[in-house]
Amino acid sequence: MLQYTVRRLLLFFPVMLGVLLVVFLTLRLVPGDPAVVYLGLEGSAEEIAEARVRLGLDQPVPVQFARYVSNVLQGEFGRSIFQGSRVTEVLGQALTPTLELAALALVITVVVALPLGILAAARANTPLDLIVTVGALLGVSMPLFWFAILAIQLFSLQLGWLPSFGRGEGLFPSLASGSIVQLGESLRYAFLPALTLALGPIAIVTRLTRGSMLEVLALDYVRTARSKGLSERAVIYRHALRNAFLPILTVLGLQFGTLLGGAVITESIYAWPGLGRLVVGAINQRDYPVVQGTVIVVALLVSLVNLLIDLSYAFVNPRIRYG
Amino acid sequence: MARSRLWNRFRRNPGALAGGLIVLLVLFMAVFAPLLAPYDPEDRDFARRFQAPSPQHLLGTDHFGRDNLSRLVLGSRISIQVGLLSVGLAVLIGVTLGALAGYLGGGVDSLISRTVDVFLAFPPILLALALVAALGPSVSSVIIALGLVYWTTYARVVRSSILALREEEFVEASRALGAGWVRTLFRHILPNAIGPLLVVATVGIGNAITAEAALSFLGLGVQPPTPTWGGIVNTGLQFLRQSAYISTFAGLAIMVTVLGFNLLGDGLRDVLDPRRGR
Repeated sequence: MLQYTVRRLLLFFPVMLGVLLVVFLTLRLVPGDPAVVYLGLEGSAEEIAEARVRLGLDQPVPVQFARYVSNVLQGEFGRSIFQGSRVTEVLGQALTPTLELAALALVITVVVALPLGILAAARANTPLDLIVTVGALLGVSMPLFWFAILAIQLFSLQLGWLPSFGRGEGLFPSLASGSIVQLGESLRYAFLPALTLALGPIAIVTRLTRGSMLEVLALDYVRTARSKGLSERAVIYRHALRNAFLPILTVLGLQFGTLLGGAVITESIYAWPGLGRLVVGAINQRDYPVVQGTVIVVALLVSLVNLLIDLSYAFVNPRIRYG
Repeated sequence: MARSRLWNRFRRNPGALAGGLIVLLVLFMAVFAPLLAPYDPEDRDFARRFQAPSPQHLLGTDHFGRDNLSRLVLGSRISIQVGLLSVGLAVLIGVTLGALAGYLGGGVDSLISRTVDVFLAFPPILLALALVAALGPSVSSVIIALGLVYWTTYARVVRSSILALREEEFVEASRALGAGWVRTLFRHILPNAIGPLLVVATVGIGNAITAEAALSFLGLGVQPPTPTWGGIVNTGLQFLRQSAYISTFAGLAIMVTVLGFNLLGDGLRDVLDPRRGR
């Protein structure tokens, strides 16, 4: 157990180093002089020459990478070309909106997908099961930007129930303020983007919950539980779900990456001021320091969450001793 | 396994059949697009902007008065091209690295497996976005970017297939007969890994088509005037109040196509491995 934990923890660092290498190399794919890329097109010849030395671009590539890693480790991501402020500052402002959206989407996923999956498994091969299964398949196949447009058409343009863009006061700040009215208002802003973001995870988790439950329901101990006269409800919730839950938990955790990826599209459509909208805007403005900072921060978040899942999985399931 | 038996199982699987039919239709549409499109997709006429579906324009017209149906038919070309070629590239990279990792093991395996971990740390669409931004927006950049994003799936499938097959007797027999590792790998092991690979690649084409559409939707993929499904949905969003048909039909086209590949992939899984329940 301890050995597994230590090994898994130690794996985290080479992977993060690899992440930095991929981002570093990707940035080098940008055609043209990196100093020009960094300064934008306004730099004069002297400025560019000076920037080359300052950025260490006159050094061999491995030295450049080492400098780059050391900068990132010190939290130094440079300055936004477009906004002029420090990249860390820009990222800090965008992080909370993205996290609150992802959190709400995860809540929606659990609330919708678990009951649907359990229901479909309990009523396997009935019309209800078919509806859930087909619905999940459509959910997996539907591009979320199209779902967003349909949702805006229905809930914002036709019914006028929910705003189609913006964040309002924000979920987390509203939670902190303790005002129910403000929280309700923030939820109205967050609901459509979070629902859009949850579309893929809902479909995936529903399918997996159904599959996982079906597998467990076919086991001998479930038959024993039934034959000793327990109600179907007790069999499903107290006996089957407990063992079906481990794989569900893992996949639920893995959805975090999907949510952060989906944020790129969702936030752009709903004008939600998070990391996803930030990175799309930065790419359009060729603001490479911001692009690079966002990609690194997102990869770091995903890796951290995966690390936590792996470790908690080992705690929950003592059979995992080595990775 | 007899080929006719596989075909029989395929025929009796409604999902696989429906998926296969959709995929065939979309492929047909992409190949013969210029012949099938009723109008020139660039033919503009401001007098007929934002029309609803009519016998002349079955799916209506857009903000330039262009025929929505013709643009969708032509747009299928980019989706199919990117879907097939990017998955082809991903399979090429993934199978090579996965086979090396699984067969050689040791340090090579560790290095390749850690590289897979690194790529899995990025949400696919975000890495694709960064790569396309660096390479410049064009069809070939999108294909290369998606290939570089999705190779990990195939590497993992091939690696685990090989780990399972490596100890099989027929592999041992091949080695005992004096076959080198390259021959053993290509002649005996890889052919046995093709089933799972085919299933994952079919679903993967659907994913790649969605990803291409997302990039085009964000304006960061294939650039106008080339019609792309994602790009058309984006136009539709801008003119949602004038005409909802533009984005609706384009979104529907993406969904049906991706659904086809998903159904076909799921169906192939059942056909190739009937013991595994879902």
